[in-house]
Order: sequence, then structure tokens, then C-alpha cells
Amino acid sequence: MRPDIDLRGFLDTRGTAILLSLSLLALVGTAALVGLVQPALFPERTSDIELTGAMLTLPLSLIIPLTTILITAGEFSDRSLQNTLLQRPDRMAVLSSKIIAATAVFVVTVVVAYAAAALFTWIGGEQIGDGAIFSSMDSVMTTQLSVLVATLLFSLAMGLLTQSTVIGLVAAIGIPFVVTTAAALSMAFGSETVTNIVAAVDLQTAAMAVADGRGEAVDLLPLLLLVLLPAALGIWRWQRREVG
Amino acid sequence: MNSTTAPTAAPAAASVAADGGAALEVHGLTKRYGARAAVDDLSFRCLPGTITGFLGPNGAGKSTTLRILTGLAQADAGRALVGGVPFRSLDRPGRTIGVMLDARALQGGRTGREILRLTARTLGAPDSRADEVLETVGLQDAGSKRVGGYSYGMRQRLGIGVALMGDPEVLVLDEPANGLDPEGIRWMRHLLRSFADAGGTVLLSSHQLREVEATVDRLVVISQGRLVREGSLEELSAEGGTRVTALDPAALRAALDRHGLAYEHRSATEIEVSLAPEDMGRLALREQIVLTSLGAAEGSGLEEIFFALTGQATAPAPGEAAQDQPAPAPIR
Repeated sequence: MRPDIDLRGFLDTRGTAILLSLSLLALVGTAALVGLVQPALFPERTSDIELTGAMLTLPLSLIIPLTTILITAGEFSDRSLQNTLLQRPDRMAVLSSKIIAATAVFVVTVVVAYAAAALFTWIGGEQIGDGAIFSSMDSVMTTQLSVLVATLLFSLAMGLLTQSTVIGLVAAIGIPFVVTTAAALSMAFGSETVTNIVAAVDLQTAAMAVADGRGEAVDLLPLLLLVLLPAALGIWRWQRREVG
Repeated sequence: MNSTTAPTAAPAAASVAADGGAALEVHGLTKRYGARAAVDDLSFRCLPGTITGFLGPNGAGKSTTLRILTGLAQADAGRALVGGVPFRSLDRPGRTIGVMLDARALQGGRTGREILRLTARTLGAPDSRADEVLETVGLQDAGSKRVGGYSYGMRQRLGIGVALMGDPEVLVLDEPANGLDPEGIRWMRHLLRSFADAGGTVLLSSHQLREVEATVDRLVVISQGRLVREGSLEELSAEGGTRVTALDPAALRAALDRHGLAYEHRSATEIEVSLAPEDMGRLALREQIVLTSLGAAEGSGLEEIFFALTGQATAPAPGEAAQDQPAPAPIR
């Protein structure tokens, strides 16, 4: 396995340079905006890391699928996978490297995002307002992080399954949006059957339930349907697909 | 058995020439897409120190064969070996075999130098190797430019550069002359000749028959997935046939028919026979036929050999569509 090569291959393109610059701008901008304006908006004049982190999940829910799909499926779309496999013919090793590279980019992105959140929460709370709240860090580490990990896993599964940048992005960003909307609608309509069906594919809610310690066996169903099954199909296809 | 089947020691030994160069071997290769056989029991060898031209009309199975040979596709049956082992079993294959199948498969968002450095890192070569190869392929001034801005010819050069990065013993190139200017074609010809002269093995697929004729030592001609002919350029050229006219053309045709020999009408009186001139002379003597002219067929260059072997119509005249050409008289 050579995740270093896949990381370098991902980082040295013009498209990635643009994507990472915009991502950094979006993360720092969101963290600054939410962290700094909280004292002005709330009567306690405090800045809470939980709210800053929660708002950061919005840009992260786009950035994580983008980087993950580009790393796992990008070479199929720009055809450069041919050269990769000519130099590294062990397909499982290449696939594993890409998954490790995508996970590494995810970890760095999340660390940068929460470091920015902590910094601007502290500045907003301690320097502008009447205090910064970091006691809710446990909630950030469980609820929010579990949603982000679920986003990573689903994006990896879509990248493996679709092996196409465009279709992978549409699936990785679009399906969670559709599921969230469907969950809200099913709650509004009060249909238990529809609610159960939507719950079976609501990976983020299931991830939060598991992270909070409320998880049941049924919460593993979205993991099976949206991650394990597509990933298994994708790996099968990856091993057999003709390239060139 | 597919292309990843572990080879025995014997073919491995046989695949390495006395000077240590690696050979390419294809044994009984078959690949089907549904009911259609893209490659059908194909076998051939490419030996160290030679440049082998891999020819065939569109859809003949050349690209499929090259994909199987380079591990990008799997065969339904047969083996494709590089130096006696399947491509996918090679440790750092770029050190053994340099491949350029599609210059468009180079990532357009990277610079030429970065692509070569990434290849160097994969192969365990120093970054400086990238600059050496950039100079070899004549792209030293374009190394910092993004590949998306390269012309097709520059991409071809870079693709050949990627193939050369690991200083391999074997080169497999698909249409390497495409997009190259005359100087580039001359450069490539010289490069391949030097590579083969140094003991390397080259397999070159191309549609540019005149370029192939000027470059290769041996030919492998396939059609409809099957091997049509394999041999040196001289051997295949010698099979160009004999042009002959007789005092009694009908008697000549009748004699050829009796002996089951293929011939083709070249004009009202002249026919081309698939025999060497001396054999044609002996046949005429035995059959008591007076010949009025006899000689090796003219222009039995690669283009004619190709069209004859693959059963295709000859190339249309400029401005004339191939489908408008009358079908040539069948070789019987």
C-alpha cells in the first residue's frame, strides 16, 4: 500500500489546490462568524463551542464528500487510473491506499475545522464577550463527530460504488439531503411505516444514536444498507472492472 | 486459466534472453464480450533486441490484447507474460515494462514534471530522474506547464517518458506516433531503435503503416481477434506474390485453379499469384504454359501486406471514400 502516493497525487493538482483553498476559507470563515458573533446574539454574552461546531458541520458535509469522492473515484473520471494501475497493479492495495488517504484528509480537515472553532469560540467568548463555553466538548466529540464519520463512510461507499466523480458527488451529497427531508416529512405526516422506512436509511440519525449510547440493533441497518452493501459491491466492481 | 495464473519456472526461463532482456509472450489468449470474441486463441512472442509491430484493423483486438498484457483486463483463457510472469505479479512493474497505452490518461491538472516525479516515487527512483526523462523526451522546457495545456504530441512524449521512467527492459506502446510532428516521429524511431539495440523488447501498435514499416523488425498481424501472420518484415514482404501474364490467360487460370493456388486479377491480362516467381516459372513449365511476363509483385510494402492479410479493401485514393471502392477480386 502506498497512501503517500495517493495523497500526493490528490494534493498536487490544480483542482485540489482550488478546492482546499475554498474549503479552508469556508471553514475558517464559518468558525470566525459563529464564534465571534455569539456574544452579540445571546443574552449570556458567551460563545459556545457546541454551536460553533454544529454550524461547521454544514460546510463539512460538503467538503468531506468532495475530498473523499475525488480521492476514491477521481482517477476513474479523469482516466488517470490507467497509469496508476500500470505502475501499481495490485488493485486491492491501491484501493486500500485511497481509503487511507481519504481518511487522512478527513482527519486533517476535521482537526483544522475544530481547531478554528475552538480558536474563534475562545476569541469571541473571552476577548469580546463574557466567557467561552468548552464544557460541551463531549457533545461535539460524540454527536457532531459521529455525523461527520457517517458522512465519510457514506462518501467512501459512494465513491467505491459509482467510480465516477460526478455521480459519486450527486449520490454522496444528494442522498443524505433527500433522507433528511424525507425524515422531516414523515414526522409531519405521522406515518409510522414511512418513518420506519426512512429510519432504515437515515445513517446520520443512526450514527448519533450509536454515539450517544442509545443505539439499538436496528440502528445498524442504515450502516448495512448505505455503507457496507454499496462498499462491497464497489470493491467487487473495482477488482473486475476493465480499465483503459 | 487467466492472465494472473502463476507461471511455471520453465516459461519464465524461456522468457529471458541470453542477454537478460525480458520477452513478451502471449499464449492462447481469449477474451469474450458476450458472444463476441475480441481476442480468440491468440499466441505470439516478442523477443529482446527486436521491435515488433502489432497490426490489425479497427476492432481486431489489439487494444484488448494490450490491456490484458498490461493487467488492465483479465483474459477468459490463456496467458500473457512479461519476462515469464503475468504483469500483475510483477513487483514494481515499471522497472520491467514501460507502457504507454493512452496519452489522454495523464492527469491534466498536474505539471509534466509532477507526473514524472509521482511515477519516480512509485518506482522508488529519485526525483532527479524526472528531469532526466523530461530531457530525454524533449519536454525540458515544458516540465512546469500543466499537462492540460499540452498538445497531443507533447502528451505522447510525456506518456513515453512515463514508460521510460523505470528504465525498463520492455516497452509496450499503443499508437506512439499519433500527434507527433515529423521531427518527433524521427525522434521516436531513433529512441525505439536504440532501446531495441540495447537488448530491449518493444511491442508497438500503430495504424501508421509507413511508420511501422520504417521502425519494426517483426510483425504480428491480427484480424478478428486471431493471429493472421507473425514474422519478420522481410519474410512477410517476400510473401507479396508474383505478377504474371501468359499467352493463354485462361489456361493459366485453369492451371492455378487445379493446383488450388490463390490469385487476383490485376488487369485484363495480368494476375497476381501467391507464389514466389521461381515457383510460378516451374509451374508454367510443368503445365506447358507460355508466360509473357513474370516478376515479383511491385509495391508489396507493408500497406499491401496489411490489406492482403487482414482481408480488407486497399486504401482509398485521396478524396475517395473507402466504402465507394469496388471490392477487389477475391483471392482464391
